[in-house]
Formats: sequence, C-alpha cells, structure tokens
Amino acid sequence: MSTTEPVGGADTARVADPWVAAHSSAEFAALRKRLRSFVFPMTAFFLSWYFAYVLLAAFAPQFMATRVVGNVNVGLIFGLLQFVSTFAITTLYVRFADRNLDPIGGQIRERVEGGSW
Amino acid sequence: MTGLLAQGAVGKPLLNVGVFAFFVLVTLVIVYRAAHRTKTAADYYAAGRSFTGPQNGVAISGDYLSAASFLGIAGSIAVYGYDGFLYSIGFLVAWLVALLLVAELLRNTGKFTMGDVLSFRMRRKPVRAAAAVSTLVVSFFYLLAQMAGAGGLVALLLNVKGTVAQALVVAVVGILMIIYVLVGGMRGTTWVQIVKSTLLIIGAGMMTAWALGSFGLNLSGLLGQAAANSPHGQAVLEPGLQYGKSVTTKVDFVSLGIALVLGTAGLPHILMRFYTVPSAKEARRTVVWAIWLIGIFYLFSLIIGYAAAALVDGGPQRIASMPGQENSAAPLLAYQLGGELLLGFISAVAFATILAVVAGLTITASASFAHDVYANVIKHGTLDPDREVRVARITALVIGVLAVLGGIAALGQNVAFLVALAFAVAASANLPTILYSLFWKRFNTTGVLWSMYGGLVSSVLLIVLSPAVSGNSKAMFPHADFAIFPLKNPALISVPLAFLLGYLATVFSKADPDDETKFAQMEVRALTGAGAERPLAAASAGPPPRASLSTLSRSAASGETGGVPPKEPVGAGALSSAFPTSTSTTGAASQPATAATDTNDGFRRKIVITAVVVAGVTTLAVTVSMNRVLATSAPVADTTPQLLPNTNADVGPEVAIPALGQTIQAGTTPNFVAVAPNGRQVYIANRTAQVITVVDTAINQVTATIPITAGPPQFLAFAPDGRTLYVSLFNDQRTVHAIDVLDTASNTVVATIQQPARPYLAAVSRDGHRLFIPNHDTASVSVISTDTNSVIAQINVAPNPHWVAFSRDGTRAYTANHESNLVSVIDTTTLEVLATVPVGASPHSIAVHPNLPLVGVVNYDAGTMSVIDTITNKVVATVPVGKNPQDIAWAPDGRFAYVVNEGSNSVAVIDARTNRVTATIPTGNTPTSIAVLPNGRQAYVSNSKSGTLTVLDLTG
Repeated sequence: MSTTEPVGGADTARVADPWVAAHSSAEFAALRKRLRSFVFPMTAFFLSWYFAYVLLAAFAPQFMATRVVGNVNVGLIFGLLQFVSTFAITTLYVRFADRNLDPIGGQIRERVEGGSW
Repeated sequence: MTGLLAQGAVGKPLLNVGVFAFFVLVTLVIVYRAAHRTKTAADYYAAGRSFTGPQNGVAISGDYLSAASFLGIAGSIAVYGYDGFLYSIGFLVAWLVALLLVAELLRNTGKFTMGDVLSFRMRRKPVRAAAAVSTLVVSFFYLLAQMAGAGGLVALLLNVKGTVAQALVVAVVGILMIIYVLVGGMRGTTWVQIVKSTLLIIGAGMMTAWALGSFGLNLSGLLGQAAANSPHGQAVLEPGLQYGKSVTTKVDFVSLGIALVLGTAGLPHILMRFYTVPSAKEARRTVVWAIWLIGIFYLFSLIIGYAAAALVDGGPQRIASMPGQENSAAPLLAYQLGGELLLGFISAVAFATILAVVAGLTITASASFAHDVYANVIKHGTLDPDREVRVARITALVIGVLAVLGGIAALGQNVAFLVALAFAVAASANLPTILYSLFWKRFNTTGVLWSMYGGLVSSVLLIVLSPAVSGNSKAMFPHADFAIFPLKNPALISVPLAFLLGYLATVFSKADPDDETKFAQMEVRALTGAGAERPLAAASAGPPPRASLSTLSRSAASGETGGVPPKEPVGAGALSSAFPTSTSTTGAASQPATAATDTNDGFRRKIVITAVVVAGVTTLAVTVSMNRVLATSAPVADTTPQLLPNTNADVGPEVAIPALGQTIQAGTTPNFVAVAPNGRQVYIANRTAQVITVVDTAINQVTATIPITAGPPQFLAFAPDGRTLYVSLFNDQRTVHAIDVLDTASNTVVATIQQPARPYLAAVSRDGHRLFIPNHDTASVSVISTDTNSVIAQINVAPNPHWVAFSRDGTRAYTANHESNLVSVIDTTTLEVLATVPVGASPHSIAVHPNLPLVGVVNYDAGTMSVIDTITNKVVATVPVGKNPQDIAWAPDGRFAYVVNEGSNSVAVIDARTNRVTATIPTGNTPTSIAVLPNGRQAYVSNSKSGTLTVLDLTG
C-alpha cells in the first residue's frame, strides 16, 4: 500500500507539475506517514475491538450474561465500553490531527496553491 | 386510556394532527427563508459550503437518526432487549471509519457527489456511471424504507387505518418532501435537519431523565423492572434473544455487524453532507459532533427502550401487539411519562425526521443523477451549472413521484429489511472502492468497476436469494421458495468479495494512463486540502490561486478525453470548474479524443458485463457452499426458542412454532373441544345447536353429530379409558344444570345427573372412579361416583370454580376460582382444601404439567399465565400471553404450554423451561378452548364465533 515516490526526473512535464513536486517532497512524505501511522493502527484496533465484542455477543452469551453489579452484566458493560472507546478515539484523533497534521498540511497547501512548487 | 388504545391509536389523533401540522408549518417557513439564497449548483447541492462543522454535525446526526433508528432501536430494546442495543453500537462505531478514513479526504477531493471522488483519477464516464447506479440503488431502498415507515408511524399516531388512507399519508409525505427539496435545496433541508435533530435529542434526553428519575436514578432497578415485565425475564438483559437461536442466526448477526460498521461510510446521503462545510477541518468537526450526538442519543435510546419495557402498561407484550409493533415503544413511553403533550411532541419529531431524511435522500439521488449521469456522462460535461440544477430539480420531482409509488407498494413491507439492504449495498459497493481510491496508488478503473458492480450485484443477488425474500412465512414472498442463501444479511460474503474483486481486477489489468501523476495530485489534495472546493463567500474573498497552477494542472490531468479546460480561478469559477479531472472537457477539446473514447467505452462495457457475470457466478457458488456448510452444522442442541411472532428481521429454522393447519367447519358455536384419550376423535360441544360434533383426527372431518336434548352442552370431560364422556349442561336462563353421561361406543346419552348450579369443566380422577364437578354458582365441587352416578361429597372452595384438574399421581385436585383470583388445592383422599394459591385476575382454566411438579393457570382479565410450583404451592412465574386467555393445555412431552386468547384471537405458545412466549398463532374468531392430541402432533382450537376448529401442526 505504501506509495513509492515517482521515479522519473527525466520527464520535464512531471517535474513541472506542482502536484507531483509536492507529492515527492519530504514534507508530504512525512505528512502521509504521520496520518497513516495513526489512522491505520487505530482502525485495526477499533475494528478488532468491535468484532471481538460482536463475536462474544454471538458466541459467548453466557459470559456476557454474567452479572457484575445488580442487574448490570458483562454484556452491558462491554457495550458501554464501545461507546467510551469511540468517544476516546474521536477525541484522540482530533487532538492528533490538530497538532500533527493540520500545520504541516497547511504549509504544503499554501505552497501548492501559491505556485511555489 | 384502555379505551383509546382499544381503537388502535395512542393519545388523541386530533391533537396529534395539530402538533404535526404545526411542525410542518415551522419547517416550511425555515425552508422558505433558506430558499432565497439557493441559486447556484453549489447552493442547491452543497448549501454553498457555508455550514459550520457543528451545524453540519447536528444535521448529519439528524440524517442518521432516521425514524427507523429512533423508533426502531428503542423498540427493539423494549421487546428483544439486549440484541437491540447491538444495533446502536454498530451504527455508532461505524462513524470511526468515516472520521479516520473517509470524511476529510473525501471533502478535499470531491465536489458534490461520491462520483467526484471516485472518478478523480479514473476514467470518468464508466466510473461516474457506476457510482451513480450504486448511489441510486442505495438511496432508493433507503427512501422506500422511510416512506413505508411513515405509513406505519402515522397509522399508529393518527389512527389512520386501511391501505388507501396510508397511501394518502405516503403521498402527503412525498409532496412535502418535494417542496422541501425544490424550494429549499440542500440549505433548506439542512436547516430542517438541524431543528429536528435538536428537538429529537432534547426530547429523548427528557424522556431518559424522566424514566431514570422514576427509578431514583437506579439503572439496575430500571433493568430489573424491564426484565420482570418481559415474558423473556432476565434474558432481555443478555445477548442472544434475537440472534442466539442457531449457528445460522449467529453467523447472520456477525454479517449484520459487518454491514453496520462498514455501511455508514458508504452511504451516499451521508457522504454528500461533507460537502456542505467549507473545509476538511470542518468536515472533521462535523464527524466529531455527529459521533458525540449520535452516541449520546443511542445511550438515551438504551434507557428509553428498557424504560418502555419497564413502565408502559402491559409491558413488551402490549408494545409488540400495537399497530406499529415494537416501533410504538418510544411513543407509548412518551405517553406514559408525559401524557398527550409529550406524545404529540415526540411523534411530531419522528414525523419531521421522516420528512427531513427523505428530503436529504432525494437531494442526494437527484444530485447523483444530474451531476454524475446527466452532466458528465450523457452531456460529456458540456452542461452549464444552471441547466444542471434544473435537471437536478426535475430529477428530484421524478424521484419524489417514484418514491411515493414505491412507498405505497412497500407499505406493510419489512422496513428493517429495506434499511439493512441499503447498508449492505453501501458497505459492499461503495466502501471498498472509496478506500482503495483514497489509499491505494495502483488502483485503477477496471478495479473500480469490478469492485462496485461486483459488490452491488453480489449483495443484491444474495439478498434476493436470502430467507428474507422467500421461503418462509415472514418473507417478502412467503409462498415462493428460492432462498438458497442461508443468511439474511449478505455483508459477510459480499464485502470481502468486493474488496477481493477490486484487488484482483486491478492487479491483473493495466494501470490507467497518467495514473501516477493523477494519484499524486489526488493524494496531495486529499491530505492537504490544496485546491479543494471553497465555500462560496469565502472563495470570492480569498486570493485566487496563481495562473501557473491551472496551466500546469492541465498536463497533469490529460486523461482519456484528451484535454481539460483551463482551470478558472477558484474565486470566480468554483461552481463550474471544480478540479480539472472531474469536470469536463469543452466540446472542442474533446473532439480529437472521440474515437479513442468510443473504443474505450466498448472495452469498458465488456469489463462491466464480465464483472457482473463473474460476481453473479461467484456469489452463487459461495451461496451454495455456504448453505451446505451451515446446513451441516445443525441448530445448537439447546435451542433458544423463537421470539415473538412479529419479528421483522427474524427468519430462520423454526422450532416451537406451530404451523397453522386446516380449518374444519364444526357447527354453529363450537365452544369446547376435547380429545378422546386414544387421540382418534375430538368431540366438540356446540352450545346453541345443542349437539356434540365428532371429528375424526385422521381425516379431520366431521363423522358424527350427537343431539343433546337436556340442554346446551358447555364442557366435555373424558373418562381415562375414553368410553364415557361427561357433558356439562346449563343454559342462560339458569333453568338447566346437569351432567350428561355419554357412551362413546354408541354416541348416545346413557344418564343425566342433575347439578346444583352451572357445572363448569369437570374432570375424572386418574383411577376413573370419581368425577369432580366445579359448581360455578355455589362455590363448591361435587364429587360423584362414576360407578353409581351419584354425589358422594361436596367440597367448598373459593367462589366461582371454573376448572378442575388432577395431579399426575391423582392425590391432588386443583380448581381455578374465577372471581376470587385463587386456585384451591384439594386432597383427593380426605376431600379437604389443603391450600389456596393467589394467582392473577380471573383464573379461568388450569392444566397440570405432564411430568414436572407444575400447574399452569390462565388469568382471563390479567392476560397472563401463572405457573404454580405444586411442591411449594407458590406462583413461580407469570407470563403475559395475550388478551383474555381462556384455556390452557400442555404438550404431552411438557415442553410447551398452549394458551387460547379469546380476546386476541390467537394461541400463545409458552416454553415451559424459560416461561417465554415463543410464538403467537392467529386463530378464528373468539377461540375458547384447545385440545392437544396425545401424540403431540396436532392441537385443535374451537373458534366459537366462526363455527370452526383451527388445526395447529405442533411439529412445525
């Protein structure tokens, strides 16, 4: 999945293309790496966590029915934890994107739109 | 209140209409005020990109919290318990896919539609066409579901009955929707969504606080009460009630889980909302707001669902029996908590929800047609934006009319099924392509076409072949059977298949020309927002990009059509230009490329056809093998029983659900049916005709009619050897009180025993020597020697004994005493009353369990069955069964009890192990009694007002 940098320096049209130039820049590579190294593992995490929950509910209902406090059982707590994890991931991502993605992305955008590539 | 409910409506229909009308008026004003600003394409499709993230987040949650999910999830939790909660978790977690992988990149790359993004670096026409087809399919199924749902909701709230009236409601919804869309465009519908969504969340929050407050903020207490009220008991708090039946249903649940979590980020009407904000950062804020609002709302609906089960009079049983079935849970709870006003408010919000969601769907579908198909495929992008908007408006009108017609046709169809279909198709056809386009450099046009058409065809085909469409009584076509795919939800197969097809097709085909440069451009745009569509106002204020960019980008984007128009400065031309690749060629520029395009088109057509065929064949192969695999893994040994009958999404191998057999004409007023001990005949007492009708159970035909001259026959009791039948007689004038002794060999009356006062259902002791007769009006039981036909004792019991039954060992007799709400336990040796057991209101009939120390009693006015432990003489379970249960019988093996509900014209089946109602079977008019054959294969129900016997096939 990882994108290799365009090889050719020979093709003058491509070099002149600001998109390709921006794309092959170190800044952009860093931006892409930052984004992917956050969202891919996070996606893998929340999907596994979600499907673990779905599979437990489908195939281990006795475990999910174990009571913890009063009428509140493991299944209900697991379900509520899905809400908690979703809210937490959302907050984490926003903080991450605001701090680590937006500044560098903004710089690249300005350079592309300003024609300095 | 019961009076109102008896008519089927909740609250006062007139008040409801008033509140509805007020809401509609308010939304129309909003739409009208928003209208004067809707002029351009970006206005119409994307509200000028002028909404803020929070505004759009509220609107998007309004789109998402459709009536199906608002009423449906709360209702599922109320009736099926925990399994309803699972839906909301899938619906919520799905937003992380949108947040992390899709929303911002999509906003940066596209203009108005999903097709914009997908066609960015691909060959435009075939990809746009594919995106439009998939958008139209998904949106149309979603529209149908909402339209059909509107009919059902209004039926509940306004007491609108009958197909014509409901069709009228659908038409009104359609007309309002067209007005919203045509007048208000995206801006108008967004404002409607914002208002509605805010009210919905406030209303749900109020109900939650109120419900929790009535339990002193004790969640456990609320859950406990919900479990106590549910026929399923504690199981409503645990997973598995709806999906735990067998391996197939469990696999089906996992499949549904996939569709839910991956479908959201592929729903076109959700994706399109990301274009209504000015930037990717606002798109991110949109999703964040949406996640918080939707998450909080689903937490509310968890409480609302369980609170409806705990607080609504009659509990889950009544909710499930209302016109809107489980969808009525939230409105009923609103009525219970806040009376008419809160009910009116919640209902009007639900109605506004439907209007707003259908309007959003219509905009999406019309945009996809006008922008992707008409402007870019048919007109090759030569259309000016004004014309395009005009086409979009005409399309909206056509879609509105189609949706009304389709909605009327879909009335009474399974709404949940249509929504699940939309999610499954979105997850299969759209999401793989979106993700590949955004993240995989090598991905090409061939891959898009294979993945989209493959996902579309396989998901639709699997649904057509699923048990939701045919092969069982709850299917769309119950009388046909082509359900060779065992799962109701296709996502488990179709989503991986779409990913695989996209991958293989890409790997085995040539890369698109200039793909590398176009991908570079797309990725830079996607990640940084460079060159992204700007908001209208902000764009004209902002500095236009330098000309060098537009000139340069031309070379980057010289794809199939051989040329692109010079990119206009964003400030002036944002509407018409978009980014170079996705808008079009001018007429002149495209000329040289025409020939190449034609051959390309032929080639693409071949690819599409092959993709469709291969996807179809693969799907069929997978279907058959899947069917084999799941068929060999038989249902779990300890089968959890099937749920209530009205399970919308519930199809599967059926256990514990008797099938309706034939109906036998059985005289004018068959009021009681009894099975001969050998099981060969059933005898039916016909009161007004004063005859006993005999039916042969092998052929289910009447073989004899025995006149009873002494008076109207009411109840029948066989001696254990079957040779003698005791017939209770009394008349309305209270002049006849007797027992006729009938010889079953000759079918003649051999003796008549006079009784003091209205003999109800008698019983012969296990040894055959004594007959116990409950005397209704004297609160006593006569004990008669069957050898001499003379009274040997009188036992006084609590008032109005109706029914008597002996324990298995014969040492006890039990009487159900109607007016005192008591069961008397009689020692058959000493003839003394040993105990009286309090049961529900008006115990009518009683039956002893064939092998466990249990007695079942049905309580006529309480609508319940009480189960008495005969060791402790205490009630151990109370099961709501239906209205006015009049008779009860056990299956010979004791696994199930069958209860006849005179007031709801049904037989309820109760699992003896779990004390849950596993099925409710419709009968004829006013069923009064039931008798089960000794072999347990069939049961006979007497329908006193339709003059028939209903035969139930108990082995399914």
